[in-house]
This record gives sequence, structure tokens and C-alpha cells, in this order.
Amino acid sequence: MSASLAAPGLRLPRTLLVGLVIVGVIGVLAVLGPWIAPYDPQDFSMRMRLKPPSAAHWFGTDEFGRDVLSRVLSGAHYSLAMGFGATAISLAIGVPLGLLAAFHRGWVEEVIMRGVDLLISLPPVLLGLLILAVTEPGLFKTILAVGLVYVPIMTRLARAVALELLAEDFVEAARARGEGAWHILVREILPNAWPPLIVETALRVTFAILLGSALSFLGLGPQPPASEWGLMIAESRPFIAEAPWIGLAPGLCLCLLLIAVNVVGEGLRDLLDPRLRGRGHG
Amino acid sequence: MAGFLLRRLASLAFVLLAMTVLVFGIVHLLPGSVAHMILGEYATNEAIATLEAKLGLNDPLYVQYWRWLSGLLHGDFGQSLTMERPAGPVILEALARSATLAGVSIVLVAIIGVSLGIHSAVHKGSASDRALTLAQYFFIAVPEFFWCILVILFFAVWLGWLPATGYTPISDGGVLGWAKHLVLPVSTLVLGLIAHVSRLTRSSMLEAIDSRYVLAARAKGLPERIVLRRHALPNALLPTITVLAVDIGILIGGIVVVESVFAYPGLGRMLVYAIDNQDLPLMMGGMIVITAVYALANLVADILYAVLNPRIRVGGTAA
Amino acid sequence: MRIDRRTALALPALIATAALPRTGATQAGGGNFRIAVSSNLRFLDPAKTTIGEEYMLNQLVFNGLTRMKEDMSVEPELAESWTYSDDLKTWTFKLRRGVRFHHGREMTAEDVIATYRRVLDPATASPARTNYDMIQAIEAPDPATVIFRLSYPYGGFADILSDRQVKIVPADKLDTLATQPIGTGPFTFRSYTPGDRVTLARFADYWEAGQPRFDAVELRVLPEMAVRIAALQAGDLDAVWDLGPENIRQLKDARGVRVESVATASWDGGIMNNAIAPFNDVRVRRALHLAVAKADVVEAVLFGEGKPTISPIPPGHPFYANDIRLPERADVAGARRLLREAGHPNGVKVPLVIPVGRPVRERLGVTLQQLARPAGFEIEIQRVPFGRYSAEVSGKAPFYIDGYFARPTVDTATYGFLHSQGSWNQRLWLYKDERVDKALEAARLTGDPAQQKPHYIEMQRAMFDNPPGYIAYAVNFACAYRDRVKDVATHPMRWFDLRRGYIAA
Repeated sequence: MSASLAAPGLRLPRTLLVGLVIVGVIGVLAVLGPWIAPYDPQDFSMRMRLKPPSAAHWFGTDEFGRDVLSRVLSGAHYSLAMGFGATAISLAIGVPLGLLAAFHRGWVEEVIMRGVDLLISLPPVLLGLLILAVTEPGLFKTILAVGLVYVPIMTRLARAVALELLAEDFVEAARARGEGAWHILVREILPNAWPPLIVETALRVTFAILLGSALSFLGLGPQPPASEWGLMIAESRPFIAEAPWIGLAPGLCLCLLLIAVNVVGEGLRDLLDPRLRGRGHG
Repeated sequence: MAGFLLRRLASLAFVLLAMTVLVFGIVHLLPGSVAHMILGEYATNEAIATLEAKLGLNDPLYVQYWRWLSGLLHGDFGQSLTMERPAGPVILEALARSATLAGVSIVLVAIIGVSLGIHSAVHKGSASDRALTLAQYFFIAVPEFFWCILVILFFAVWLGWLPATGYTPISDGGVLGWAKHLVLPVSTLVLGLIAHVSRLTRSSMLEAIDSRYVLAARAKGLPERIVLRRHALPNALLPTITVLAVDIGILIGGIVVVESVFAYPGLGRMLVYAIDNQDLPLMMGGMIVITAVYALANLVADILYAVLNPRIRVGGTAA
Repeated sequence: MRIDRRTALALPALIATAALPRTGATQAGGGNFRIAVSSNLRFLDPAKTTIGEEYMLNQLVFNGLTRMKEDMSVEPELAESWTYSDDLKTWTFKLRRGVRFHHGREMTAEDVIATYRRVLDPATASPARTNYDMIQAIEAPDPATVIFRLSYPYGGFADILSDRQVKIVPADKLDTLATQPIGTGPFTFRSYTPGDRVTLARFADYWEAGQPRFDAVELRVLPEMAVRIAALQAGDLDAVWDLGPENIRQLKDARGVRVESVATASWDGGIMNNAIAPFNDVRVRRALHLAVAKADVVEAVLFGEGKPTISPIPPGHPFYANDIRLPERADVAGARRLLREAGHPNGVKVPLVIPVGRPVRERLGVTLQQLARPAGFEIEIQRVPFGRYSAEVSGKAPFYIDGYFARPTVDTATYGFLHSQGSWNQRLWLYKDERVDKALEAARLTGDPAQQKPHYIEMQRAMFDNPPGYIAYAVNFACAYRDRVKDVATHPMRWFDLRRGYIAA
């Protein structure tokens, strides 16, 4: 669990590099999207509807004659926001809960861990559906819902890591010095717990993007005319035979992003924490 | 072992009980009145008030909860609001069909995923291993709902050849007719999971092959086949079992999407219908049943894990 | 000018039956007719049905007193003939004798009375109840005669008895209608698997000789249109009900498949709440009409498969106000001016609810959102499942997309929706216009179409000046059939009359 594997000068594996580059490029495109999009992603053009890919419209046009490339570009930030935003939420809530549970054994741990058991026994899509069934849909609610879905996994992991660390000598030493709980958790445990947490976070981003876009596909994410990729795929369904590019373009971009994020996650895992190889997703 | 079992069963019971509270609570946060839903938009206010009194909707929530829970314990899921029939049979029939789908899928995932993983590990670095690894990266990353689009595009639009959609019971269509209806939904469901499981099996198999006891077995001069089968494989399969249980969760999520696309009348589609139409008894019943199935799957995985790996019994459950 | 069927209806005449006596000769062997529909059926009890898939089932399992044909004319069904008093307030129906329910009992006047009492009973909560609020009393002097006494003159009374919810049900089986519907129709109910299908079998004792010909009918629920079309082309289905306008183009040249598209009076629109800001100001409602030309909407949303309209009366109907010219082009400056006058110099921001899973209506929402933007309408779309409309959206949201199927008469298509006291009006736009109220009241007091016409023209003029909402278009209805399906016609009421159909060997 030591940080020695991440020592400076270590060469990054090639796949990790490729993944990082792709994620980086998509990130840059997402930020620059509104400026580099060749057309207004919402502009109708009735004469140009359902046109196949061409020099003027690389990804073709949709049922309203909107440029699919421009829509894909202006929708990239949704997936990234859902992936990273939701993971950040699960990290921000899950890790403190896990540390707390590890440090205060007894009823605190019992309450937290039983709550975790409970939430983890609902399949993620269902939990997301339930949360969104009681609220109006929207980007931030989707992010929050996806984030909450993954809190229990983060809590479990943080607790397991902290339990191991609590048995280490340097923690014993801190206790012997009479340091308080806050100091021990924040100054001693957290700095040493980050490799497995980072690995889990990186892997979790993939699933957060997946779940977020699946919820949007079901109509529970950003609302039209937003060009969130899952929503675009859902809206393309009536035209799948006549104009498959409307759905294929965002779909393939989503796959590319997911592959890249996954490669980065696995690469980081191999780099930082080979022991975790084989840990499941879910 | 008995103590371990008891503890796990108790925790299962706790989870299910807490889940009834959670589901009941969330469902009663939904906007709109139940009586309004039953009578539809054409109801007069007096009719709504009468029905509310009749159904006991004016009772305190805990009284209503208790009524629902004791019904559940007797196997009574209440009356479906939109279909005007008992929800229980609707839910259980849908469950049976989804279970078929999930069961066939998980068996395929286990067999194909594990064999591919072992093959890759044993032939590490070979062309087929590299091809599989590449394919895994792709298949893991494709969301189910996009798979559905691809499958429809490929089979329905480009090939003009679509194996039957919907569902036919064995009693009507025979085994062949029944199996035909499973082809598309099952293949859509398993592709990603096979990639996932084979990837995991490969890495845990590789670890096992490099482990000390396998080296020792080799040193004893045992044939390589026997070394792999008797020593490496059992250890490599341990994490795979846990992952299969997790995959059931993913499978349930996938089923919601796949059933809608292929018109398969299972639990996932029923649940989406219930949520869309705010059919509360159907919704609550469906949720509870899915949770119970998922929790049971996890329990079975834990027990299998414990049986295969005695060291774990004292510790907590596997992540 | 000739005014088709209504001219005939205006004469207090006896309408003779056209059906032949039952000979017992059967013409089975018509095959199993498999129709794909999109939504799960919920209510099997005709009095409670609300969606197109359920209406279709009503038509197959049950009969009404009268029947509406594909050309929208009304003919006798379970009523053999009828007469009415000069004041249009007493209607006497002679029932057909020897008609049997699926459970074997003969249909009598008692069943008719039980059916109508049930629909009129508020406890049943039938969506059709208010359509029949003119019925004051129902009497059965003998088992083959039913007399309806009305509280006000109603010329189209025989017509509205052909509607969806007033199918004659057996008085002794009312409790089991929800799960085991029994009627006198050409097909008997066999099974219902929620989310999957409804199966029906040929009713051998059907009262019309030689009918039906299909041995069985299956309504299969297939949510995905691409799957429905592929299954049709693969021969797994015989018909696809309710094609999207985008699919019509796609299937026009397909081999082995026939597409039929018919004009209907079904309409979609943006429903505005006239009691809440910003649409409580008629200038804002009119501004949207100037900002978005209905012709553009028909092109964008329907690919031309429909016509712009002013009210629920569709273009092509004898009562349509042809002299009103709907703008062909958007008038952005005019719209902005109206908004400014209404106190919105910087435009107006309004949420718009659209139903998930109804692609045409979703597209209507996105189209309004985009096309109204230049004029200063900032519309924020919210997708809500259609099933939640009645609880959360209808009559509450300031602006939402919805649509309504054709009704059997102009009165039923307009009065409830547009009269300030109309039952639907309360759930839609809370619209109030004196000219419209007067025109509607005057029109229903006469059974003579020649006298009704000027009133309905006046109603449309008033609605053009003071629109209740954005009634966008009358939409075509299209179905696709395999070539081998014979004698099945596409019905503008969006249901199927399958009595004569068969599948050619």
C-alpha cells in the first residue's frame, strides 16, 4: 500500500498514455465545443434534414437538419460532467463515511455499514430511477443521483483501506502521542490511503458515465434541445433505418470516451496498486 | 459455517425489511394522489374522497405501511392500479420471464467468460490473447442501450433478418420457439459481461499461475494440465464468483433497457411501466422482488466464496 | 353546397338495416391477424378506456348501438333502426334480435340500459361520462326497444352512440369486465399478458352472417418502431398500427408491404393555461401564433403528413373556415411587438412539458422551442412520462404538448374542449370566449348541418382572434400491412374494423 510504486521517473505504460491522450482530447473538445462547432447545434435547416455525412456535415444532419457533429461536440461536456462530477460526489461523501466507520468502531460503524449494505443491495439503475422518479429531471439531479448510487462502494473501500492503515505502526505512534481523531484521520490515514482510492475513482468514472447516459437515454437526464449523447441516441431511434448516423455518431463517441477512461483507470491501477488487479466493477 | 450463514441470513432479512421502508417512503413522496390515479383524470372530488376513505389512504403512514407489509408477508402485493387486477401474479409472471433471461445469460457469461479468460491466460501474449484483450476493451465500454441500437440496425435494418421479438412460453411454441425469442435479448445482455468476466479470469489466472503453490506443483513434476486444473484454476475462480454476483446487478440494469427494446415482457419493463404510470403497488412490489433477487444472488456468491475459501469465513464479506 | 351524411341525419326518418339475417354459414379460415401496437393496454373494460390501443380492442370484442364506418358515416349496429322526436329530445332505438354475447346469452334492452347507466355513474369514472350528460332518462318499454330522453335537443345523438366507451356490455358480467371482457363483437377475448399481447379468437356465433373471417387476432405490444417494421417485413406481423410520419416515407417503396395514410381530425398542440401567466394574456398566445407558422411545424414535425388547423375541425371538413388564411411564414417582428405590448419587452421565459416516448409530440415540443426563439420566447423543455400527465400536468402546467383523437361529431370534438363550461376545458386551458360559447351553444341546438355550419365558422373566427392555445395541425393516421392482408381498411378513428378482413393464402 506504500506509494513507492508511483515514484518519480517511472515510465507510464503505453496504453495508459493513449488513454490519457484520448480523454484529454475529448476534454479539450468538450470545453472548446461551442467555439469550434461548425454550426449552431440547435439551428433547424429544413432543406438539409436527414442528410448523410458529407464534407459540409461530417456526421450528417438529423431530423431537423441540425448538424450532428456540432451537436456531438456541444454535448461532450455532459458525459464528462456526469462521469467526473458523480464520482467526485461519491468520493466526497463516501470517503469520510468510510474513515469514520473505521475509526469509530461500534454503533457509528454499525449504522454506516448497514446503510451501505442497504444501498448496495439495490441495483444501480433502479436506485437512479427511484431517485429521479421523485424529482424533476435535469443535469445536476442526474449527477447527484449517479453520485449517490456509488457512495456505498466508496465507503466500503475507504473503510477497508483505513482499517488496514489503523493497524500500522505510524498510526499507533500518533495515538501514543495523544493526537485527536481528526488529526489521525486527516494527517495520517488519508495521505496513505490515496493510491487505492484513486484507482477506484478512476475505474468508477467509467461506470458513472455509463449510468448517467443510460438514465438520460431513459429520459431522466438533461432535457432537449440539449445534445447529451444518451439523449441523442434515444431521440435518433425513429430514424434508425433512414438515418443511422444520427445515433451512431454520439454512440461511437460515447464508446470511445468509455474505452479511454477505462484504459486510464486500469492503467493507473496497474501502476499504483497491482494488488487490486481483478477487482470487479459494478 | 453455521454462524456465518446465520449472520448473512440475518443481514439479508434486515436489508429486505429496510428496503420495504425505503421503497414505501420514496413511493409516497411521489406527487399525485393514489385515488386520483385509480379513478383517472375524470374522477369527481367526491369519488376521490370516497375511495380514499375506502382504501384507508387517510390513515397515518405507518398504519398504511404496516398494512402493506403484512400483505407482502402473506404474499399479497395489492391491486395494480392501472390494470385492475392483483399485482402479485403480474409481478411473479414477469419475474419468471426475466429470471429465464437472466439465468440463461449468467450461465453463458460464466461458461464463455471463464473459458475465454483461461484460454487467454494460458496462451498469454499469443495473437488470440491480444485480439481478445482488444475486443474486451471495446465490449466492456459499449452501453447496453447502444448495443440495442446496434443490434436493431444490424439485424433489422441491414440484414433484414430479425429473430423473433417478444416472448413465447414453451407450452405454446415448444422449446425451439421459446429459445428463438431469447436469442436477441440474451446476446445483447451477455456481450459486455463476457468481456468483463473473461478479463478478470485472465488476470486472476495469471496471478495464480505465478503463485508459489503452482510453482511448487510444477517442481513436483506434475503435468502442466493437471497443475493448471487442480492448482491454478480453483484459486483463479474465487474472484470470478464475486464478480458474477456483481454482474447480476449490472444484468438487472441491462434487462430494464433490453426488455423494452425487444418487447420482452419481463420485470424490468413492468417496472418502467409502473413508474411511468405511477402504478404504486406494482412499482413497490417490483422493487422489493428485484432487491430480494439481487440480495439472494449476493448471498449465494458469499456462501460459495466461503465454501471454496475457508479463510474468508471469519472476516467480512467480499467487496 | 352538399353536406354529406349530416343532411340525411337531419330528416326524422327511419333508417333501415342493411344486414342480412344470420344463416349460420361460416367463413372461417381467414388466418391469424397479428397487429403491432406501441403501448401496453391497461383497461380492458370499454367504459374506462383512454388510449388508442384500448379503443381498438373495444371495436373487436364489442358492438355499439351504432357504428362509425371508415368514411365517417354512421350506420346501425346493435340498434336495427331509430327514430327521434321533432324537438330532438326523445330518441327511440329498436334493437336487433338474436344477438348473443360471448357467454351465450341474448342481448336485450336491459344490457343497453345497464351499459349507459354505468357510463353515466360518476363512481365508474368513465372518461366518456360528460359526453352523455344530455341523457336524462333511459327506458325499455320492451326487451327490444330503448328510449333515451334528453335534457336538451341534440341532433348528433345517434352518432355519439358509436363512440369508443359506450360499447354494450352484459348486465350480468359487469364485475369481471376488467379481466375477462365479454361483448357481442366479432372476436372473443382469450388472454391478456401485460406488456406483451392480447389474443382474441373468432366468435363463431357472431350475428353478422359470414363474419368475421380471421380465426384469431393478436395485438402485440412492441415499443420499438424499428423492431415493429422489421418484424412486419420479416412476416412475423401482419400489420403495424399508427406509423410515425417518418416511417411512411421509409416504407412507401418496401416490397410486400402496403402503407395507407388517411387524413383525420386528430390534433396535437401546445396547450396553454389561460389562467396563469404568461398565457393568461391573449397577446402572448397570439404572439406565439405569429412567431411560429403552422405550415413550418407540419413540415418539421410531420414531414408533411398533416394539415395546419385553427380548431379541432380539420381542413377538408365541410365546417372548416376556408376563408381564414393561416400565416404561411413566421412574423417575428409582429410577435415581438405583441410581446412588448403585453409587457414582455425582453421576451418571455416559459417551461414546456412534453411527453416521453411519443416521438411526434416530442418533436412538436422541440420545434416550438426552436422556432419561437427568434421572437423572444425562451422555452425550457421538461420531459415527463405520458402516464403522469393526468396527475401532474393537465390543467396545472402553464404550457404542455398534448393531442386528442378524432371524435364522432363536431360537437363532441369542440364543445367540451372550448366552451367555458366544457368538461375538458377545465383540464386543458381554462379558456373563456363569449363568441365561442355562443356559437357552440347555438350549433348544438339544431340537428341541421346547414344551420350548424355558420356557427362553427364563427367559432373558428373567434378562435383565430383569441386562440386558447397553439392547436398546430390535424395529423394523418397511417398503418402498414403485409400485401397478403385483404379487406382491412385504415380507419380515421384509429381503430380497425376487422369483420371482413382475411389473409390470402
